[in-house]
Amino acid sequence: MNKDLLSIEDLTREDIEHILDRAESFAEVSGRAIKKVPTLRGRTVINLFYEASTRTSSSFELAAKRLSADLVSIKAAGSAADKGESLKDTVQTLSAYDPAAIVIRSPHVGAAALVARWSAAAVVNAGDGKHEHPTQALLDLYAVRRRVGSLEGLKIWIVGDVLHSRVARSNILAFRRMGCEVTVCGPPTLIPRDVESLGCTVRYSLEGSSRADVIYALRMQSERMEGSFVPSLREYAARFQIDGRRLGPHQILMHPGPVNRGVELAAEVIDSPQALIVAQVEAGVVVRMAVLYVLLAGGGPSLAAAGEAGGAMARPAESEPQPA
Amino acid sequence: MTEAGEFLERREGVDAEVLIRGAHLLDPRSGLDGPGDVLVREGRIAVLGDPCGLEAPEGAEIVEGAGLHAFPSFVDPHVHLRTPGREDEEDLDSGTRAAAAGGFGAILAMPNTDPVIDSAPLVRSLRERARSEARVPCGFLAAISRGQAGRELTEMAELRDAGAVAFSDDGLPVQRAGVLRQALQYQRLAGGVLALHEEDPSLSGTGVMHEGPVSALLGLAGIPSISESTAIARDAAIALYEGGRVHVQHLSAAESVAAVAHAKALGAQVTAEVTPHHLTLTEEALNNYYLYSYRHRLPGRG
Repeated sequence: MNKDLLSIEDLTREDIEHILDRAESFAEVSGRAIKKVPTLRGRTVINLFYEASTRTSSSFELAAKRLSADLVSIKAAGSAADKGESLKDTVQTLSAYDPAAIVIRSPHVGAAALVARWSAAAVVNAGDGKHEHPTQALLDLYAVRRRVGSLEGLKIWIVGDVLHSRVARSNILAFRRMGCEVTVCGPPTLIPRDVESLGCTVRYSLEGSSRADVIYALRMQSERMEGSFVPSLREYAARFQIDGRRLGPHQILMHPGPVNRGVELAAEVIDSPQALIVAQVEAGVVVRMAVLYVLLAGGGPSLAAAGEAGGAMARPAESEPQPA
Repeated sequence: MTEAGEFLERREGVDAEVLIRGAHLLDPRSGLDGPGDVLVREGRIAVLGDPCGLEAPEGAEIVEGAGLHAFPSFVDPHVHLRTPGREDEEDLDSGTRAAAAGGFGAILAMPNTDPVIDSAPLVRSLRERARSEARVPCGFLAAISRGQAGRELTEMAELRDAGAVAFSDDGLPVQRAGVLRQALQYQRLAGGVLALHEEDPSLSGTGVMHEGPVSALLGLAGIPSISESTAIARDAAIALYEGGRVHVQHLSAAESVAAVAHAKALGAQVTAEVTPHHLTLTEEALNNYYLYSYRHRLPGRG
């Protein structure tokens, strides 16, 4: 593992399995009445969110708190960013608090990578523009693995607006890394050119999706529903909405949330037994705990190497309290 | 052409029983070029024979073909039936009767009607009417953009399901390259060729005829040939990039032919059509006869 988690591309299959295994042990903690371990006691985690977020920011907050870290959450609205402070100045200011980790979401591709260069803290990309959202992909892997046991050889169909989706990009890479077959499916206007180069197959119709083990529907943003990208919501739904007819009894349905009911998913499938959507949200906390743990306290030979390179962050790890 | 056949509608009729005797038969595809007889039974060519060598079955109509030519029927991919909206000018009955009289065995109607054919119910209603009125098989195009306004795509997939044979904003160019690109991307989902009226309005300006010596002489505003040829070059390049299929409507200039040939040489999937009047008339028709009725949006060119 590197000092930071910026992209799924940076992770080996072993890194991913290590995180997922760690998340499993935190799941056990989450089942207890007191869901807290002292792992990161005395360490500071900063949540820096320049874009609206409910589940990502709240689950990172919970993850940090359950690891006993001191947490500072900063939203763009009301922050110095509103007053024109540059990202670099903000990071330098926050670095004065000696954070162990900075979790950043930004509308700009590459923002997390910049912060990682500017700061000695471990930086976690919580979404950078349309580029990546690696912890979402990790929690998705975790949720599927919990449901079916092994990821190897699974057929994954990612359906919808792939063009504007950082979730899609991270998930294509993540499912591929774990040995899955990935198909992306949507209107040709919403599939990025040359996306095949990420290792997936492209389809413009749901025909054949019955062979998928997992149907992963993407959020269709309202501003893309009319006009140019697709002719109308009607036509999008007629072709690509996942409803009861299009979801087999043994298929798994996923969605990163928030769901547009009646757009990418029909109401009947959202609450169906096939839906993994609630499990994905639950996975968010334990997987983000695992990410923070592995980056800040997880040790392991590769992390030690990263620590040496990381200069100021090469601090002695705490005495490894076992979460399980 | 089985694919296209699914999109054509005509009214039920009595299958022809006809013997054409001693006409000059011409069919470049089968290499036919000489006198002969054609026997049509149950609406289909049943037998080809030596001139005046076939017997007419009982009840069959006999056409004496001496001095006449017989061709395979023609197809007109660019017809205006003006329905709905201007049935006073043309309708399915009059348009398809004219087609039959002229030897056209299938026609495709443009969607620039009032209202524009940009929704599935309109396509369905036209096909329904064709089933009761059309004298020859008749297909209908739908618009590429809503209201042919050039901004938002029509529901091309649903229109295709409803039976739109192809898509066109005919009468108007798709001015925005980005919209054409999206339509070509969407074609992968919906199918259907995009038939393009190629013109750059900023070059056509207020022109009413071919720009050249005659327009200079007459003092009429000219439309330069590059108004068409540059639009073709642009759209063919987009089609090549997206791997889409386009059909260029009513070519009017030599430069346009060159643009199509160039695009085809690069591998673009481009077809083109030309009208009889663009082949037979030039701007001299205006000069010689001063017939303003020859003025045309896509002018005859020298």
